[in-house]
Amino acid sequence: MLNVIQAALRADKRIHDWRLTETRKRGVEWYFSGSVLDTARSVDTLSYSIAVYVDAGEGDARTRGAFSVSVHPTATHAELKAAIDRAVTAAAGMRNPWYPIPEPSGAPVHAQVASGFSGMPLESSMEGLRSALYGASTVDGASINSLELFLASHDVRIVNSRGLDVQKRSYRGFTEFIVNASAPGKDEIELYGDLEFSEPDDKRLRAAMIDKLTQAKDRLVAIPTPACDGLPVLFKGPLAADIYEYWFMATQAQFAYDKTAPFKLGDLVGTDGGRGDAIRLKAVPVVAGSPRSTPFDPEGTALGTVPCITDGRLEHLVGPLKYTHYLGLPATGDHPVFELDAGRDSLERLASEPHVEAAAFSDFFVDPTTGDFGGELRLGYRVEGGKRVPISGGSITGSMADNRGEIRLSKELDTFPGCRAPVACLIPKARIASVG
Amino acid sequence: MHTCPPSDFLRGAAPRLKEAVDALSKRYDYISVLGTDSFGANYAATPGELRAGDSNWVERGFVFRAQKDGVVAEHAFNELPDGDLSETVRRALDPILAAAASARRYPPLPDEPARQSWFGSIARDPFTARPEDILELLSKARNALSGSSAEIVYSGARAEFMRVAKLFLSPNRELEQAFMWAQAYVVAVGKRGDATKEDYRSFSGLKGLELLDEVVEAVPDLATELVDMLGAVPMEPGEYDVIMDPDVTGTLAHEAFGHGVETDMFVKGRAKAPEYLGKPVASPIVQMWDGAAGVEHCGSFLFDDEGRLATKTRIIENGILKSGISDLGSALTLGVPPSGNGRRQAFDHKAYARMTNTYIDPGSSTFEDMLASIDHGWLLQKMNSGMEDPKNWGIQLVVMIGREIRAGKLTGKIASPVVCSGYVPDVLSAITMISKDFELSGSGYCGKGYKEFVKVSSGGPYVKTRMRLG
Repeated sequence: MLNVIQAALRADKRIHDWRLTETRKRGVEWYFSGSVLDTARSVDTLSYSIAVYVDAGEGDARTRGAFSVSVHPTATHAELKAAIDRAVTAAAGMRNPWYPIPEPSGAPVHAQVASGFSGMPLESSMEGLRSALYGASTVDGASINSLELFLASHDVRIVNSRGLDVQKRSYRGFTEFIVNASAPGKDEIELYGDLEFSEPDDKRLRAAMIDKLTQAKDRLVAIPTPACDGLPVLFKGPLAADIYEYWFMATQAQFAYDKTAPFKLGDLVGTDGGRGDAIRLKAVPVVAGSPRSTPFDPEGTALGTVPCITDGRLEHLVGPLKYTHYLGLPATGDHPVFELDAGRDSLERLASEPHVEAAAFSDFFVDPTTGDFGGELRLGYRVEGGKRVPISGGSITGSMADNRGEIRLSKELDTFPGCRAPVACLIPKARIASVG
Repeated sequence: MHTCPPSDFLRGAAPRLKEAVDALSKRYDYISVLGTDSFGANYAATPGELRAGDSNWVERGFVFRAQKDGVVAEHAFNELPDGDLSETVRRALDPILAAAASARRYPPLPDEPARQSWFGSIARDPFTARPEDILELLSKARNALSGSSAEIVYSGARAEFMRVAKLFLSPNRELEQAFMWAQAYVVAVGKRGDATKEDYRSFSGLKGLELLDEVVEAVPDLATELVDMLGAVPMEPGEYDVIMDPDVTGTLAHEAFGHGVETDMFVKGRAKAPEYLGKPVASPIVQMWDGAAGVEHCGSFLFDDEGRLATKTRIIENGILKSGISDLGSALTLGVPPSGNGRRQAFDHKAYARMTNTYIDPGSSTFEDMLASIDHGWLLQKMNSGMEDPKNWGIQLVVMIGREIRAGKLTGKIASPVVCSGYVPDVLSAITMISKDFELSGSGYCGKGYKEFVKVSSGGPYVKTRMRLG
């Protein structure tokens, strides 16, 4: 099919450039209720995505339109032709500033994103993952209510009209789990947890489960969130990673081109030596254990390391070739993950001052444009005078802009789906709505 | 009017699928196949460029579901290899069933005879329109927005059109449907000093190109509102009387009770609702519904993704919790009739109990009366996000605009954003007034937790209640 589509694209003289992406996904899915398998599924799909580029005008007045269409493996020749016609017609109606598509960087790239899942049948790996997750299925009255487990291999090949030809195999594992905790005289409570992974890392899976079970046990005895006026908020784990995404979004060229980014190149994103830690953020192609890691971006551009924020200052942007070209910046590619440097103080030191620790929200949000953040608190801890009291209910809201230059990062690092970054951050200014 | 045509692809594949179903029915206790062939496109006008491409909702494929000795398994694929299709499917399903030998045994999946079809209609077909005309209209809306205030630093407009086509076959059922939905957004970002705020208008429905007529009209009001938001203050945390606009009311219904009465959550012991069936959970003036039948909006269809016909479920009647909404598996487990709420994000995703169109019925008050009844409170507008907590009945709604009410009048003061939280029965029981208005909104999507997105609508009237704001 790939050859048929390529031939059709090459033969169409209306098209100035094109890109074709082939993706084969093979996946296994297990759904558990308690520890009992409820349903099992398998998925085997092949998909094609075509982007066509149609130019108009010449010289400085040259413009480019683009349109992407899906072509199914069951498509007939007539359907393929109709899809290409539709894409060409739509692309010809757009007159955007001209931009290039990626050129081949040398020999064809055949990459395998390193994974311990390679060479093993997916079904065999699933049993190991299940064992790891259920190996820690109870913690003092907390247990797994239900769990979904997904593992898939993705074979992706990208070719384009400039001769680029890259391919890779990667693995994506995902688990979503609900944990309960109960005790006599108390309503049973639940918490949600999930984890993305690309390695059969039993230790990491088990630790994530134990963390969530422990949180459930704490939520069971949590008191309604009391008045906590003026206390800083410590965000840990995935919540801290959500905060860091605000800075990563600020490095995106498309965001800057759209004029919705909160910072411009050269702006101070954090501090350059104040109370908060200096922000040092690098866009990278690979974070070990993250299924988002990739040697090349969705257009096939090979990815390297780009120091985007150095000592608190936004110095480089990353993104699809179109947007770096539009902004007159070096081509970087569209990075999936980033690394954020450690802070000066240990987590223990950050947690030594009175604070509220945010552990779980109903749905935590950080708006990449306004910098507003917040959510309803499902579990937190009020930490003061050597006591760590579980709290629940109410909400925490705040603004990244109000905290610029004052956010402190832990010295310890952890791996998250989108980054390798400090395990916690302390935000000094937030509004905490108490219960009652 | 333009009637959505059936999928030629699905009709062409139907004989082979039917043949495979018939052959496999001799091997398995139950067998069915859902085929999908949905296409659509996205269009966007932004400050620096026009963008367009196929919608992310595009799909074409099949999922076979089999039951053997009570165990249920599925195989999803999107190729139709030459040769005996039933053999290809058997080779995929048999190992799954073998590996799942210790899995839960469901009661026999039903297969009552049914043969129906539905082809929706719209006023204007978006797929015969010139893409550049759609983009020009979106650009016009965007330009008008940007030109209305120097404080508007970004504006964008986008539209999405989908034609959904599905075919369900089992030994005794043959169901076919095709319909269109559309959604559009106008979005703007404003900046004044260090304050940055964003605002939007959304449009949706079982509509075609006619949806875009609504887009340009909304621009002046949006521009004024955004500029007002730039003077917003943080919400002073506390508990207040509030009036929710129809969109926020719908999201309250959706998040507070809709997710909590998905019966697969009952089966897993993840919902508090079963303890309250037949008991008061809301003010006696509250009536709440969910159904793909009964209203026509983005959650409407003839049959769900498990081949069950759409129904309309009364969830709350006069404040009493009456019923849940079910997928097939949970309905069988609980011994209740399936309500036609088994839905998949796409053919290659599992079916879960999901909402369709969820809403609270209109009441007898006017918005003006509701406003006049509040000494100090907030009018909540512009949904940003919501999240359910069916087990513990917490509720989180994030709205972009809170308008202060003092002595029965809007003061002009705005808080943004506003996180609204509370205990669901408290919030619903505190409802004292419901307006005569009724609006449904189906832009965006609904997730089960943080994934499995499906198209739904929600809405209702203005509702006065009491919530914790922060």
